[in-house]
Amino acid sequence: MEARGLGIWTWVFCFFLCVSGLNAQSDPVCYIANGKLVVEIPSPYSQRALDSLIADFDMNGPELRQALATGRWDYFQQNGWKVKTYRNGKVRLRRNFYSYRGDLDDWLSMMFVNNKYNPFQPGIPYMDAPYGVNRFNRKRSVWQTGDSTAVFVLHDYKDAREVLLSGSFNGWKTAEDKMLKTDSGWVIQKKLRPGKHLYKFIVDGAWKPDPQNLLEETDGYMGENSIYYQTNTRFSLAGFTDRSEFYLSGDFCGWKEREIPMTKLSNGWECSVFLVDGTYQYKYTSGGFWVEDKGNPLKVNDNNGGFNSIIQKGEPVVFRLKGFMEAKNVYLSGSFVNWNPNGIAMARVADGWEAQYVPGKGTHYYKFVVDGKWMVDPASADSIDDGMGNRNSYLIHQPNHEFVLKGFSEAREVILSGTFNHWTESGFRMKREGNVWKLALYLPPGKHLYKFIIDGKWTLDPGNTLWEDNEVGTGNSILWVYDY
Amino acid sequence: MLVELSVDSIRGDFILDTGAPHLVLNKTYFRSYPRFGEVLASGVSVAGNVGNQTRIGKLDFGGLEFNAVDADMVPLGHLESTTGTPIYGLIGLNLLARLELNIDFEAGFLEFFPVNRRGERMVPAAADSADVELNMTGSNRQLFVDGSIGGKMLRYCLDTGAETNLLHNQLSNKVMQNVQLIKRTSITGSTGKVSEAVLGRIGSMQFGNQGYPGLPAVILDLNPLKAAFQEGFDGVLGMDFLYRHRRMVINLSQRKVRLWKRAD
Repeated sequence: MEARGLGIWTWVFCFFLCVSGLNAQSDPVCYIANGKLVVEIPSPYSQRALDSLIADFDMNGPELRQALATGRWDYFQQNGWKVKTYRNGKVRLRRNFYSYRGDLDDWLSMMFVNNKYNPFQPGIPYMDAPYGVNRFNRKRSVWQTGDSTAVFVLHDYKDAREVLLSGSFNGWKTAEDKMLKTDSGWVIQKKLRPGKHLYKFIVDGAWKPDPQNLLEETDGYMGENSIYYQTNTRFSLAGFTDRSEFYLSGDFCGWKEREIPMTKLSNGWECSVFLVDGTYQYKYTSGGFWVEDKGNPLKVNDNNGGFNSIIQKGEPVVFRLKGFMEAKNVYLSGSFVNWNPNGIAMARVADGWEAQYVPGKGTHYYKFVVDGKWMVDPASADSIDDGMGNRNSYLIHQPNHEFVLKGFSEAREVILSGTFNHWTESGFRMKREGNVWKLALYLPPGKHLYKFIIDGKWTLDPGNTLWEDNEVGTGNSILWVYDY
Repeated sequence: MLVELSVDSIRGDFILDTGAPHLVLNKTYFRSYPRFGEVLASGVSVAGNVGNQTRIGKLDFGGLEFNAVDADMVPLGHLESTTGTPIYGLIGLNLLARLELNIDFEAGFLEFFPVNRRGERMVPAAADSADVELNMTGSNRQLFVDGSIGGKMLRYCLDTGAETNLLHNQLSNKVMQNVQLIKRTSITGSTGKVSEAVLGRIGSMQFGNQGYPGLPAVILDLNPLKAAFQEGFDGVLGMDFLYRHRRMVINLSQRKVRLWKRAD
């Protein structure tokens, strides 16, 4: 009886398998056959796999779904596909590759440059967040000995003949910074400005990332560069020593709770961080408990019944709006407060309105909001198109390079345009000082291409011997901004 | 793979580029050099770039000195934009003709050893048998070697100047059955013309008795490059392939390439 019962269930199971097998969904596939690109969509197909095919192979999703539903393939046939529908519902699309029929250098630029500006360039420190915190193994290998000095230690390789330090701070030079052999390893002291630095050791000619440093990023050659932050801000919190852990959190790290661990001291907690110039809000946190920095008088309402502490790094800027004395509220808004219309409340002064803010290095775009009405800064002749037909005032704060154009004293207008402002024709207006035109900008490290537009005519920088060809044969001037 | 060297009084980083037949100078940094006529540069990363021929006085390459070397002077701005560092030029194969080149990928260094007429190193190397020993095929202008996919013999250009592997899209079905397609992309050039590339993974590429499973490659129409090289070949193997090795030795006199694979 038991055996017969089992037999019945086996038959039921086999029947179920056969039925489900008949309706089994298969995945659409893409392959190359006879030099042609082939897309095969079985019937029935898995919706999820079809979604992947549309995303991965850049197919027109709405058209493909409609064609599968209606059996009308006109769109694909008009775009070069040969379509074959099988009796079992399977569809096969087939077409030639789009092959390039043009100049080879254009083909190469497509292959190698992709026409995309990539701010991350291996070997050049790039901050994708406005803060940095060091992380080492238990045997720390870089010690900050002052605001602008650090000691690098390589604990291993005691039998090596020669060890050098090479990094973004010395232009990746391979013979400049020889390390000294000591009892505790190979040592060198370097002057470093606060910020992110990339480095490697060269041990008897072989490049090696720091084995004690947990922070690394790609070196662009299948290897890794070690990352060290020379910090510029120490946060400290008194008390709470009964807690086992405490963290620093703020808008600079997206208010993540467990991102920046603090070190426990006998009377409190502390941590050292590198902060890019700017204005930030922060708090300390431990296991869902949040506390403001009681030692810091600068704070704002956190909209939750408490306060966020405020820290400002860098040089402050005073924004002034003259007049509008009858206005009830005036706010400063801009790229530095994500264009929040109530970004920074301006205070009424004798002849108008005023607000102080630390915006950080770079070019910042702003407007005043007077009783809800947006307006450019009437005191500044500098405004720029926002790409949607509106104009914004701009502020260039703490520039690191000055563009100078000599010999065009008769020109009525000179505009600076380049990769740093996406070649905007209504770019940065240069200022005449005597017989020369000048403009100072803050530019991140790396390669920048630019031109002057002198009375409407695009012109190479006559004072710069470095230039390269462009697609229209007129050339672009080159500026390399270094981090050291 | 960047190497710092001096050309007369100019010092800068050059790419070691086995896909280039000879020395190439970036026009940006050598504009003052004499021009002897127009050239069409060849080499995977510069093919088709129009420039001029020139001659340099002295080239100092890790202590090796070359005098009166002919070079192509072409724009290399696209390589600078990709690498984010000033590129003064490319060290092509002709500078390596009388040398044995040893590249240690793990340690990141290059060594050069002078060779005699038979192509043997003046200072013999310690015995260390390679995992793969390849004979160069075709001309000495590029580093061509033979290997197979799906049992079909193919010819590749081994190129230290290329990051990715490239495979011609017109190869036989026997080859393509071994390629799993992952992603398709259309690429629009500065003149608005469109080309198409597909990223794939090669099931098994074989050199001698060594297999290379899962090698990534961009599959595209290589005809523009083949026309510029004036050589028939089926693909380019760049650093995506070479970094699977811990060491490579190139000996152009013996027309040999030896490879030592990394431990899995």
